[in-house]
Amino acid sequence: MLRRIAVSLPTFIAATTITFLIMHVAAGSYIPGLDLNPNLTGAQVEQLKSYLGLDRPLYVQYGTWLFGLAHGDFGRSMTDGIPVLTLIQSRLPATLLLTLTATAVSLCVAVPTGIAAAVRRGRPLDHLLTSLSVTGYAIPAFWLGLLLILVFAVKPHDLGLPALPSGGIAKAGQGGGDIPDRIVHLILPALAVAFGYIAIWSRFVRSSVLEVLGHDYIRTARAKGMAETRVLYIHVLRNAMIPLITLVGLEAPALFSGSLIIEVVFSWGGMGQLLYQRAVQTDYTAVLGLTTFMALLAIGGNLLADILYASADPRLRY
Amino acid sequence: MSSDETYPMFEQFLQVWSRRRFFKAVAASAVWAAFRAGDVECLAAQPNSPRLSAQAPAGPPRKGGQLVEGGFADVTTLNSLNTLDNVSTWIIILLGDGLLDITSAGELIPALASEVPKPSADQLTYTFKLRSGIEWSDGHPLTAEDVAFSYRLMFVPETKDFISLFRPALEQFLSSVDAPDPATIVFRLKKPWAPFLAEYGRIRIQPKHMIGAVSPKALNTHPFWSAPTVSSGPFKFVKWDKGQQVVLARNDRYWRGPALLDGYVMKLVPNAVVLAEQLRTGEVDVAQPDATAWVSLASAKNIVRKSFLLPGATWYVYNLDPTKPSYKLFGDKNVRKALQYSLDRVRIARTIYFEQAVTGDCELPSVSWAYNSHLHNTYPFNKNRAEELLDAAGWVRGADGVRAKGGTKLAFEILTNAGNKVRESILVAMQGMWKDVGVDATPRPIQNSQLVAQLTSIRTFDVMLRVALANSPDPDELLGGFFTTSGTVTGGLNGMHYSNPEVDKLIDQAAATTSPSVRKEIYARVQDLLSDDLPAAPLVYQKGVWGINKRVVGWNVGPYNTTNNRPWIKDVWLAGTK
Repeated sequence: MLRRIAVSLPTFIAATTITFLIMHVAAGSYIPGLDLNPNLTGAQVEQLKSYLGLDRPLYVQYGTWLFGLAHGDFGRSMTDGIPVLTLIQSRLPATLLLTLTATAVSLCVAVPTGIAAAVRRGRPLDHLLTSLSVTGYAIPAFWLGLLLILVFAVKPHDLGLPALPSGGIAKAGQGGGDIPDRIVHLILPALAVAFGYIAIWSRFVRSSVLEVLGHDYIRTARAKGMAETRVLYIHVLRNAMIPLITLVGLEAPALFSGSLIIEVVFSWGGMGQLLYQRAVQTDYTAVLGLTTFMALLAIGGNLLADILYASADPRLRY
Repeated sequence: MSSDETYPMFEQFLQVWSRRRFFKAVAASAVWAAFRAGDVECLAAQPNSPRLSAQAPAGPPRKGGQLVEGGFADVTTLNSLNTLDNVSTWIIILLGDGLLDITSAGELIPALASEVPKPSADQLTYTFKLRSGIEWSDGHPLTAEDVAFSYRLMFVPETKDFISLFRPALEQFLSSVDAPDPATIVFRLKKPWAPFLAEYGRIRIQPKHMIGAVSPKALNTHPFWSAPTVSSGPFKFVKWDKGQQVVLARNDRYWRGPALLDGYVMKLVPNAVVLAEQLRTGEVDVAQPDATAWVSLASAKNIVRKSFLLPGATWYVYNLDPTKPSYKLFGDKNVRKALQYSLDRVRIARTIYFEQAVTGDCELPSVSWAYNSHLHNTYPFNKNRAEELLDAAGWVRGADGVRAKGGTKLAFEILTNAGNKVRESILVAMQGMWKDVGVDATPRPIQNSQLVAQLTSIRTFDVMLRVALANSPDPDELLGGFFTTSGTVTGGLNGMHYSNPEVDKLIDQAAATTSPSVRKEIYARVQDLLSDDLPAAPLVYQKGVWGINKRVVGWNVGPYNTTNNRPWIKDVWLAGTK
């Protein structure tokens, strides 16, 4: 396990270096407030650059930033001076709520449909579920989001029917203490995020179950006269689910980035929307801090998947 | 016609009209019907369509409810003494008033002051009288001391550590601000300065009893600017969830009387499409979507659409600095005229703005009181005239179709701010129209911050497309900073490096004259000179487009009265359901 953690470190450094370089190339000359302040003189611009450390060599800027990061400092936003960690703290709960709900929904749908497709391999139900999976996989998340808004928010409202909210984490003007209101706002974005994952994971569960069904110990269990449902739930499922744990762990960061677009489409006030807003404002210190945090999540997600995999299958050791 | 005659005809009909043809005809009819429906939709999208009903009669005004206004960009600060940011101003004006305000037509009206003052005989002193009984939301009286404190923060040497965008102008023109008694404020100017009232009489007053003891330096980053604890406007601050919403509640001590609304929310949405959706679903009550999204709202039964010309213009400006390569291309004003003649601006207004813009020939908008409607130089689309002018100027078409002169090709880049789809589309349209007359323009969208830096300090651009919107009804705002030689200094707005001594003299003369009729004559001459020199060529005057839920009554937005002044907001009320 220690070795596994040690491998993560260079991955993290590589991720941060690449992000830092990309952000520098993308917005290296940005000076906050310049777009609002046409009265800034050249000398003032230089003064600002010096204050922000933008006049120093790139490796010094990176080193300073990395040193701060090692001390838990993700930097400060260039547009409003707020520490990036504070920004993350304010938005992480919303993103976690969305991604965890979407994950739960995806698993609740993907596992039974995957099993059903495997058990009825080659039959009409399998074909139907396979077609739905391929469709689900092919539909872009943002388009699906817009479609859901049209079908469940705009059209019902036009027809005077009860409609779901088309965006936001709560009704405007409220902080979100109202649980039913929060749940109602969660439905469409969670569905939009979950849709693609249902498609992928159900296909994965199907293959995994089929693979396990072909093993000798399943034939033995059946030969011993074990009931089919018992074979399925005791022997097949447990073994088939182990790879799914890894997959879900590996997909955790993708869930965050996948929800970025959905958060924008649904005005969901989470990390994704924050990242989008800061990128548009060319607030590169904030974008850097946020992407670093997401890189940490990705690496953490992988580690967690490995740990879970090892505990689920004692034969595996790192 | 007898049945004997009709039967062969019927047989003939059957021969010609096979079943396949019949279905084709049905399909064609369906397509035609759909097309007509779309046509009706398009007609309905036009601003004067009879399908656009006015707001429903709603009975007597009703108190209560929270109004939600949608927008794209977040507020950056609530510091009224150091921001020109439109979105920030949008909230700032709801939290406090200045001495004066303006109507939608751009007329100055008294706000905290009891009347709009006349200047003294020497035109150097303005004496304001405050209304009686004005209070901050905490019950503390708002006096002349608050006014003097607010203005002094922006120009006296003792407060130089307090950053204010208004400092350069106020330092230049303002000599002193005094409060001889709690209801009187006396401004003394260094020289006569007509734009003073319109441009600086509306700055929102800040509470001395809350922030007066803070050092000017510490005040720059004081939490009061992100969460003001008191206000003097129709609303009080409740909270600002960054990137999501700003929430305000009614201020019952407002001097104009308490607002009818219980509260106001500015809700952030990602883009115009989402904004239009939320207008449809009633999640947002009022908003300014872009022209395309606005057109799509024509079919929304719960929305009233409103559009009107804004006080500004979309220009493209040249870099006329003789030391820059672009001067070789644009130094001759006949080339600039040719480029303007070759643009079909009517088509741009029609296709890119969906008719929500009209062509313009002046640097001042047509809604301005000083607009010159009788310009000597206008440039209607005339490709032949453009070609003649370019030929006469010595720019000859090469084998590749691009004109050249002395080895220099008439090729350049045109910049605008990336992300603004309308402006990016205009660049592409301009590129195509210029290509027709042998001009090779390359569109290059860049970050807005970099675009502003190009105009104010870097100045390596060739041509730049930008929009100038006036905050104040005074023509000096759009003409003074952009077209005088003093604006060519680093940090100034005259990034074109345009310099015409006659224009300088006239603009200074107009700023020092208080008679509106005399000023109008002077500005007419300035506009004539600019339309001949064309340092900045006007393209269109854009309209402000609004979607307003029918339940909102009294949303009286107008050219000068949209996001930087809303003296009518206290009378807005909500009728019926969303």
